[in-house]
Amino acid sequence: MLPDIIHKLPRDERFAYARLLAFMTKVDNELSVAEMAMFEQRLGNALLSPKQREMIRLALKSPPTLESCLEGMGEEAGRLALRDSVLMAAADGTVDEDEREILEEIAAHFGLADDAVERLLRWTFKGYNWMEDGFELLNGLSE
Amino acid sequence: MFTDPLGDCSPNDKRIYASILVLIASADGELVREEFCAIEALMGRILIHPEVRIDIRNLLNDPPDLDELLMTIDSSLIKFVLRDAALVAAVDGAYDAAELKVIRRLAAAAEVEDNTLKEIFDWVNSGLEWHHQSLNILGL
Repeated sequence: MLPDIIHKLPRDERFAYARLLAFMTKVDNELSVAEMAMFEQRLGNALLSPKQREMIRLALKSPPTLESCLEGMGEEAGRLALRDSVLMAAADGTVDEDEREILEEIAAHFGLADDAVERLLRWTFKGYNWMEDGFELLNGLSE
Repeated sequence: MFTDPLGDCSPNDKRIYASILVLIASADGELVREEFCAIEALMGRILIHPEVRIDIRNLLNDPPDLDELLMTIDSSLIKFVLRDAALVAAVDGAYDAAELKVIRRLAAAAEVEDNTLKEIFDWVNSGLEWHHQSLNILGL
């Protein structure tokens, strides 16, 4: 919903990005409404074709392997997918060990610094605070 | 954590919410890709049914009437519409006069005064800054 650069990538890269997010939904074996909402939000940002969206939703039922997601994926799409995987993993309030391990693996695959996941997590929680500020602003209107 | 009360509202209210966002995006007569992305993302965020999204996209060619939408929307949702209208209007980098006109009408409907509207704009700006920081972390 905020200006991003994912929509500027070639269509096949956007599809690869979305496949990685679909993989992430299954890492902790449960897909919460918060994670689903974040997944759908990022999918919307990626401007996939209706057919690609359908394929991605099918991938939710039968997720691809991490290796197949990363294979041949461009660096820019991969880094954005890592960021949005962090957003999704944290959407239910916690990032469990399995999720953290996968995030570190993706970061290493794309040659990011050792502290990249940690920095993205801090950035994510800063974003949650921003959202909370928005709620508080609106809640104040009802008083 | 990123769920929104809008996600729990009725399918009809979700449709009206998204229709108003379409109005904002098309207010200046020019729909840029960033605005389209924002609408798609916001529709995804509140889990609007894929088939309903098709109807919403079609509204881009034939925008609805704001007064009619405001008459039918649940009054408690108008402030959320106002918030997200400000987001959609900002994504192409500037608030256009036509977009501001619609936003001000939404603010009036939500009984939001100018100083609070400014707070909403400030909140949008801080969100834009926050999101941009991610690109620095990623080296993009």
